[in-house]
Amino acid sequence: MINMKQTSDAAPGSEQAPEQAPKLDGIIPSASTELSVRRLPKQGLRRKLWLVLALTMLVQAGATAGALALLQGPWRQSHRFDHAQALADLTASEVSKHQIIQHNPIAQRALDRLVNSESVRSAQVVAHDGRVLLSSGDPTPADELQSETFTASLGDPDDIAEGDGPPPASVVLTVEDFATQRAMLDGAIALGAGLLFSSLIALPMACVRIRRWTGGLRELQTAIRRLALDTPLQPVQISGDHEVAYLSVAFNDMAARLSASRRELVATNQSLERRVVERTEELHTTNKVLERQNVKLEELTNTAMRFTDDVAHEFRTPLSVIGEFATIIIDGFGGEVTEQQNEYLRFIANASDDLARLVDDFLDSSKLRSRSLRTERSAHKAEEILDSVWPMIQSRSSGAEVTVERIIDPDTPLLYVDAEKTGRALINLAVNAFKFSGKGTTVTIRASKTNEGDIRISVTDQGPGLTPDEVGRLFERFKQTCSGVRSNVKGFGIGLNIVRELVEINFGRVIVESTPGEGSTFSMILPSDDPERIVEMFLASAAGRSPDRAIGIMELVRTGAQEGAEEFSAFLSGVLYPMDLQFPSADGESTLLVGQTLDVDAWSSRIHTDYNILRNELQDTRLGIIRSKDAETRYISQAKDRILERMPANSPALNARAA
Amino acid sequence: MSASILIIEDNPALALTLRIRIVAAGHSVHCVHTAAAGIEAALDRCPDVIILDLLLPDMDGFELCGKIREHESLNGTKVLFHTVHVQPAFRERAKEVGGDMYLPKRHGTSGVLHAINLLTGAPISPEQERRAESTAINNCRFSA
Repeated sequence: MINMKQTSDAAPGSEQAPEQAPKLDGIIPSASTELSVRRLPKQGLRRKLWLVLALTMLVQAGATAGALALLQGPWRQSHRFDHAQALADLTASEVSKHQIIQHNPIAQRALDRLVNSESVRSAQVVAHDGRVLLSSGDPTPADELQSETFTASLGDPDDIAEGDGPPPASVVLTVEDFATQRAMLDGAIALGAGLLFSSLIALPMACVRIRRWTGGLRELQTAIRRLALDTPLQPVQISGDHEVAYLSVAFNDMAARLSASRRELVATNQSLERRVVERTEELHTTNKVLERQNVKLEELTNTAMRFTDDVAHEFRTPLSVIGEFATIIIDGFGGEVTEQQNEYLRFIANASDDLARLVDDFLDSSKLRSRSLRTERSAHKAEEILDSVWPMIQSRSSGAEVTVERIIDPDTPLLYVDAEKTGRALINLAVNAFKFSGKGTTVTIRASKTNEGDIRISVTDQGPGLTPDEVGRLFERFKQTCSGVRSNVKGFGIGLNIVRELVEINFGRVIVESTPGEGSTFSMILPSDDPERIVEMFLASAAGRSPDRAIGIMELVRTGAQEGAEEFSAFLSGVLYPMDLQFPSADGESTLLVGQTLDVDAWSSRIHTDYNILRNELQDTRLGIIRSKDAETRYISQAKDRILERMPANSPALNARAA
Repeated sequence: MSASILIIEDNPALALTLRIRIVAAGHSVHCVHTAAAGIEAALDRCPDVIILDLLLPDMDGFELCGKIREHESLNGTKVLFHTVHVQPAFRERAKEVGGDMYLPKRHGTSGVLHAINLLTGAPISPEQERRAESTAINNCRFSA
């Protein structure tokens, strides 16, 4: 018995009678459509096919035997005839040689041999006139005329008759077993006919049976094809107690399960798609809200900045007028001026000058924020910068009754800075020092070389000094130290803040050293005229503002250097050094990143998105450093990957990215 | 060396301070306060240098400069933009419309005198030379 084992949890007793075509409720599966264990019929298809095969083989064997039997007679006949012919030839030759054959022993022996070996009852050589020339075996009795006589002529009777040759003769063979052979032939024919008849009956019957048993296979094949093509499918109905019927049941079950799984899959897919669409819409909505808020914020910021810019602009012209007229009067264009008037007028000029400078600084600061401040960097001696602002510093020190000294160390290297901005930073620091110094004290301005090879320009006063806490809060925009000692001194929050911006635009930094009660030293550390050092100082400056992001830039340089990418170093320093780190923005205008909070994300993405703009821009400049686009792309993409790897986990940029 | 200067500046007080300083330096000066008057005066006088404010009541300085450049008779006249604004975009625009120099007002009247010397090819005094070092005033002039 063959059992079709099916999946486990078939309901017990759900065996299905196989007599009827397996019925399914459509092809929708339910718990009860689990295939149960079913029994196959004893008279299986295989056994039936074996039977048919055996029958067919029998028929074949019979047909073969019959054919063999039928062929035997004619074969023997021809064989005998061959022997007789040979004898005839021999005899004929002997006859021609000896004239008389009767006494020819050779012919006699051949005749004997024929009789003995070929189950020929008798053989005679008969002359034309009927005389028996030679004889062997028993003579042929008259009542056995049905015996077949083979006659081989011993030469052409006509030829022989015309000449003087021996009389023609024949070899007559009498076959003794003819009757037996005839019986065998009849039997063979009967057997063959019988077998042929049985074949004619058995084969069509077998064909009909096989066709009935296997006819369902075609239906199954069609169904399988429809299943494969996922076209609508009806259960296959095959009746009978055989394997194909059971196969159809199994197939229907399988199709039903498959179809159910398909529907489930489609439903899941649709549900997923709906969710994706919903989420996408949510995201779009959130994005739009954020975008609107962003735009609003940007508008607000722009409005605020425009307002302060406008105010500053409005201040600038009247201040110019006041200052200019004060100096015009001082210079005597308005007539003679008394010494007293001259002194008072200088107060006006200085005050308006201070205010005008403050407004200028303020505007610069605003430009810095909007990334549109131009810088004009070049190599300068420290002396040049001090000289350019010295008259101003001296005039202000005398007003504050403070002595000012200048010391320039002989080994001070050349600076690579924007001289005007450096000078203004120095004026700010000096004026600040004068304000916080008591009368009669000394303020020292000194230029020297640091251990790292940079230039330090320091302003040292002998004022009240600052506590470490005050130093910490010194540079917070618009904030002032709140120590009571200086409560009577006008604020300089903006001024110091601008000093720092002016120094940082030169990749420098401001250092404050102070001891309460002894005085303060404000120092600007500025780069020397050395490209590599400028890049380093730029990075250090950026790190001071945004350490986690500056790491990215540091890594960028390190990567380039480590991998022997001289081109990359050249690329980077080429960008930083002569171009003020100007990168193209989306609207095509160059933007200045120095002095801004360095945003590596924005920077690296800008490199990628505006790569072509950047490249064109660089190609337009005198920097012919981009030799291979492939190499450059490789460096940039590697650098970006490393930046992202090295970003600290708590980096705001990363968090923003993740969100 | 005396040059003829036309000041187009809507603030009369500021125009006056410029006039006093420039006259004191030995040049002849004519002041107007509107763009229309500026065009008329320019065609009338063909000055060596026009000192042009950006914000005028009837027209902006860029437009006015463009109109001035339309007249062949004013080919030899140099246009000096004199303004509070320091945006690079303004500077570029000034160059586009045919200006010769873009001088922020923060350089003061001494800066204007230096600019006039630069534009007219007059000798630069050592004092001006020294001051120019730190103020980078020479960079305000557009290179040809």
